[in-house]
Amino acid sequence: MFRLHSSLVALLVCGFAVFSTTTLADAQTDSTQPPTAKLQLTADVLLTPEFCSTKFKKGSWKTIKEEFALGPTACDDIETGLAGVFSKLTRVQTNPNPLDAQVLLTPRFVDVAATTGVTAFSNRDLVVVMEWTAKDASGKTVWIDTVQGTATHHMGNVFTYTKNRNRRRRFGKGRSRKSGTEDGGVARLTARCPII
Amino acid sequence: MLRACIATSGLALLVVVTAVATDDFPDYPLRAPQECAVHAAKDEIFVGAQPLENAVDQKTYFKTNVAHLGFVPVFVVIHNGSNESSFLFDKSAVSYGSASVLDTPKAKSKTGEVLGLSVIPYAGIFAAAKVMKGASQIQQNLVKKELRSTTLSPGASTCGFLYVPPVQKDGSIEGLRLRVALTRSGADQPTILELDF
Repeated sequence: MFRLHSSLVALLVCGFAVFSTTTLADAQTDSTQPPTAKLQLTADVLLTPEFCSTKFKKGSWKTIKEEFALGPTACDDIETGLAGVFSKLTRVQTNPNPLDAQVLLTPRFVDVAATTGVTAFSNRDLVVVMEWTAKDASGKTVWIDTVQGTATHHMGNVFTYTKNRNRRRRFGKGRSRKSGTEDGGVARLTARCPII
Repeated sequence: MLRACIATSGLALLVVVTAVATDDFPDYPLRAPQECAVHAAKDEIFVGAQPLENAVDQKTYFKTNVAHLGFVPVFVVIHNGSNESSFLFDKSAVSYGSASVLDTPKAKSKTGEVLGLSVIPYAGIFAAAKVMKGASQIQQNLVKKELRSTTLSPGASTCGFLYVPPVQKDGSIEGLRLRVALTRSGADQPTILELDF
């Protein structure tokens, strides 16, 4: 049940895909059910060199200093993950002017937080928060949302620590397992706050 | 006998340490905007804010005294009461400032461009944490519970915490004005709601 074959970033992308499909479809058809077919929209996804080289440095001299290179992982997976959502998807490196597609999608890493364990067998959690913005051809923001992905793996010892950290980043290789949510470790943050 | 005693003690210590390390953070109870200490409504948008200035509440939901780190957690809930329109909530457009200063026309040009809340120095919070035990869990919990940008479909709500610096010397946020902007999908001008604490 806990075997996963996709990366954390891929899950973030898929999470985005599900939520964007639902929300954009809502806007188009007033239906709350996600469509099974591709959205009849052409899209550009903006993956700048800066985004693709994003690294988060966490920790201090008091604890563990770590670097999470999420950008390269994301850029490998985002284009593939979104290909099945839109009728046409084009990857661009700079802000296109004018926009050829109907929407421009821009991902942004918001934050990363990783817990530390006490022993080699303590579980560590990695949380990645990513924000997505969709703009129309006129440059107006038509949709924005934030998704959160989590990964859990053992802390590891002096020999396995680096490997385990990379597993958390990739989320799903080896014996990593998902945690928290049932939708593959990705939660739309607004889901925490039901309709009141 | 001595070996067994040491082994048992070691095992007990491991259990205690593991229990501390895996301690859960309870969710803050949900509430409607109208049930919050401060609330406002405009253009079918309802916003409520409930500051957690009480040290006991902060310990309960964050396992630390957040005020000692230089922030007051404010629970914010936003509800789209429209039956037709979606609203975009961009957290980078959230701003705050002292209400008395903002009300002064002369000073408004200077402080009216109040600070955005999108850049929260979590590293600072982490570094300032005196207690190392569980500090990374505390930091992650702060990240998880933060209010985030989202699109509110008709009838939908979003909620989360904003971490704002205290205004008063006693660590309270009395006199603070929180400004939340939401844009109706397709519109140019945002709907701005102000919450005075």
